[in-house]
Amino acid sequence: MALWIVALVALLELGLLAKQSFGVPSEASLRHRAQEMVAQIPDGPAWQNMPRWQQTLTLSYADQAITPSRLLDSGRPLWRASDSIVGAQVWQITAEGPMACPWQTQQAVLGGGLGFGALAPTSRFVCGAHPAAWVGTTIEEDVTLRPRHCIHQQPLDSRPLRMQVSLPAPIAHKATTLTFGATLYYEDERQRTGAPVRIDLALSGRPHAQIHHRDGDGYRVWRWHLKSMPSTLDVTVTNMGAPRRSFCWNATLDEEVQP
Amino acid sequence: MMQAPVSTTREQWLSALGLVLLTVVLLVSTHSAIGIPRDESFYIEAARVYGRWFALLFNQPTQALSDAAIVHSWSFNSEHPPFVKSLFAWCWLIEARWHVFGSERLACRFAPMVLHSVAVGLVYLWGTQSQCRRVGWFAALFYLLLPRVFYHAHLACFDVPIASMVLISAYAYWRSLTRTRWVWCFGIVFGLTLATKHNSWLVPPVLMVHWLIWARHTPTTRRANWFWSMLIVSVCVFYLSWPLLWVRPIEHLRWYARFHMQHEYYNMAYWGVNYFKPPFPKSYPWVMTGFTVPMTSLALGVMGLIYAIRRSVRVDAHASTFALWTGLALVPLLVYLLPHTPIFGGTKHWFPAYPFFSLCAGSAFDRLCARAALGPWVGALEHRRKVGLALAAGLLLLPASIETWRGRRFGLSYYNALAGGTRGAADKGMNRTFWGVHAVNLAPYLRRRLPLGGRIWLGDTTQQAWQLLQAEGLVPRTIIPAGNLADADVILVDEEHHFAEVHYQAWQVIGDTRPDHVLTFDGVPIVTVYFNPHPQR
Repeated sequence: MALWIVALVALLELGLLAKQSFGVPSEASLRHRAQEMVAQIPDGPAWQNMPRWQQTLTLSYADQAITPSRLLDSGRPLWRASDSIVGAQVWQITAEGPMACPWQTQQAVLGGGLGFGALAPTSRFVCGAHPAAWVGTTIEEDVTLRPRHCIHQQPLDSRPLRMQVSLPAPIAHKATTLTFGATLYYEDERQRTGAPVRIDLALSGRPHAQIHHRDGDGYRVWRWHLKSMPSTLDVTVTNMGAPRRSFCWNATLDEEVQP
Repeated sequence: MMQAPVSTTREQWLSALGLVLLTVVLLVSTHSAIGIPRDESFYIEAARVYGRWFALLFNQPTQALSDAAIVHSWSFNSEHPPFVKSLFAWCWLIEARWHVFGSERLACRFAPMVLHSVAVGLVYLWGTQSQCRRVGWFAALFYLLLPRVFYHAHLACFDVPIASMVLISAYAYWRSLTRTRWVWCFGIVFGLTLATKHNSWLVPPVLMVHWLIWARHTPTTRRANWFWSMLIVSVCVFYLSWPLLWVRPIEHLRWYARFHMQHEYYNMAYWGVNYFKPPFPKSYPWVMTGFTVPMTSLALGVMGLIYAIRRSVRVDAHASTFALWTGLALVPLLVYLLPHTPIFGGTKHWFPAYPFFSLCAGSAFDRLCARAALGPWVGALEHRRKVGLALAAGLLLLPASIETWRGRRFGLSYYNALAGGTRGAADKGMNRTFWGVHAVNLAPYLRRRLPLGGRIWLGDTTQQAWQLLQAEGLVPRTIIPAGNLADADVILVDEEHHFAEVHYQAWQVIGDTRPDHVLTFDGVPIVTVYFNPHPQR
């Protein structure tokens, strides 16, 4: 009896093998790992509401380039920090006062590979001779391995880095919500042994909030309702003492939905 | 009481030899499509370094045996003992001198292939000697047709050789319990096992427990000759096989042990989670075995294991053998229940369990046949009964044969029907590949995409592996590895969970998220390739 049962198992296995060989692959298995990660972003772009097979086709076989920002930046906010970096200013805060980090274009991109973290963009603010002393828009892998399109602003030592971005005038009269999202690079955060990163936000030059990103927070989002509209947003990032605090953030202003 | 092993007949020797030859032919004929994984590229380099030292030993022995020469040569890849790498080195020397193999890759792979083939033959012999030919034949073919083992058996690595050496050691131990001359043999073989890989450290505790149980039921043969042989002969063989120990033995042994006790942890995906440090899930080795051994084989193996456990506790002639098989089949998996045991590449680290799992499966098959009502179906005649048994064995091994053949190029991505195949495993978030082994499978795409040559970001593939493939003409010589990702014309990304960041780096560089080409197995992406239209040079 037992032999016949095992023989039936063999026939079942042969049937399953035939099904695998001639059947249609499931959508999840077809998707690339990176696409799986993107698809899991809860506030992802609108196309993620499409059926999975369309996502797959859209990503793999689209005629036009799908830029990282188109893929990763969800919604249509009034303003997004990563889109405004060209007009921004960056300083390193030293004991002698703020030292400006110049905006440089057509810079070489070095490195890449596992454990390397985010790659620098060719246009970026340069804050010293160290290869990692840059501020710019990149794609950083968060602790859940998902991609985040964000502004890499990593203080390499105890000297804080400050970025000031201007908010365009037309939106200054609308009631808005400021959304601030931030992460550390996967390998820097996953051991959960690093010091927190302190972030000081200022609106129109006045202190607005002091927040901390701690290991284990992952991609953390803060939201504020703004009654009076600011003209600038200042983001000052301070390394509280641990190496490899690869902080990366993005912010949006969204028009508030009227009840 | 333990049954004395029956003497081996000429027919049994010939059958074992036939299995060895069949396995060697199968492995050699299917090896060329299998790329060079990271670790193999380092071991091939070790073969070169050790081979040059052996050549020096012949030509200028005094110089070769100087401390400086020994340390210079044998410090390379010294985290692993040298027995199997020395075999690679000898074959590498033969290739360099006489071009027997046709490539460095096959030269270095030949010794592990032979070791695996010997193991297949020995499984047959042990099953036949301890029980009957039916057990031997079925167990040997069962072992040969394990897809992941078959894949790894091609590689110049240690995972299959250590499985073979543990099997040979266990067999020698088993024979030594009744024949004195096998005591010496066991000492030598176990010394070489120690010199193969550190998985060998698990063997003495199993043998010790087995011997204590066996000696209790065998009052006339209580002497633990095998134990003294292990302590003296094995240790001497281990020492002699590793020239680095001739210079600073204690210091290096301490370093070797510490290296593996405090090994860094690697990334491994399991049910959608990327694990990178302990504690690893306790279910890992059991679920992965359940997902990577063909379903019918798994059913037979589990039945055989249960049968072997039940037979182990009986006091009869076979109990001792079953107890030994059970212990050696379970301990390599049980060790993963310890809190700090690293899980590296997964299944390959408990390959030493599989020969014993196969022997248990062979016993289960024998048991099933003995109890099956085959008579009315095939008639009472003996030859018809044999045909019936062969058909039954063929049916039970057919799925494994198909899966082993289908998975021969993508063995690391193989999952059984229980997991839903490779697709089902991908859906479940299991590891799809590792070791950066598939660059060779991208050769047609690369020739088409970069006809005039260019630069490639190799992903997880090593530059040494790429150069070896170039030397064989398997990938274009005009395509050279890029030092920076932004310099590359094409960027390879292995589809492992923790490699997601390299996708994002590629997106950053090319400003587009669409891949140019995707290498798939069963429709599942294994390597994604991005094309960079504006490389930075």
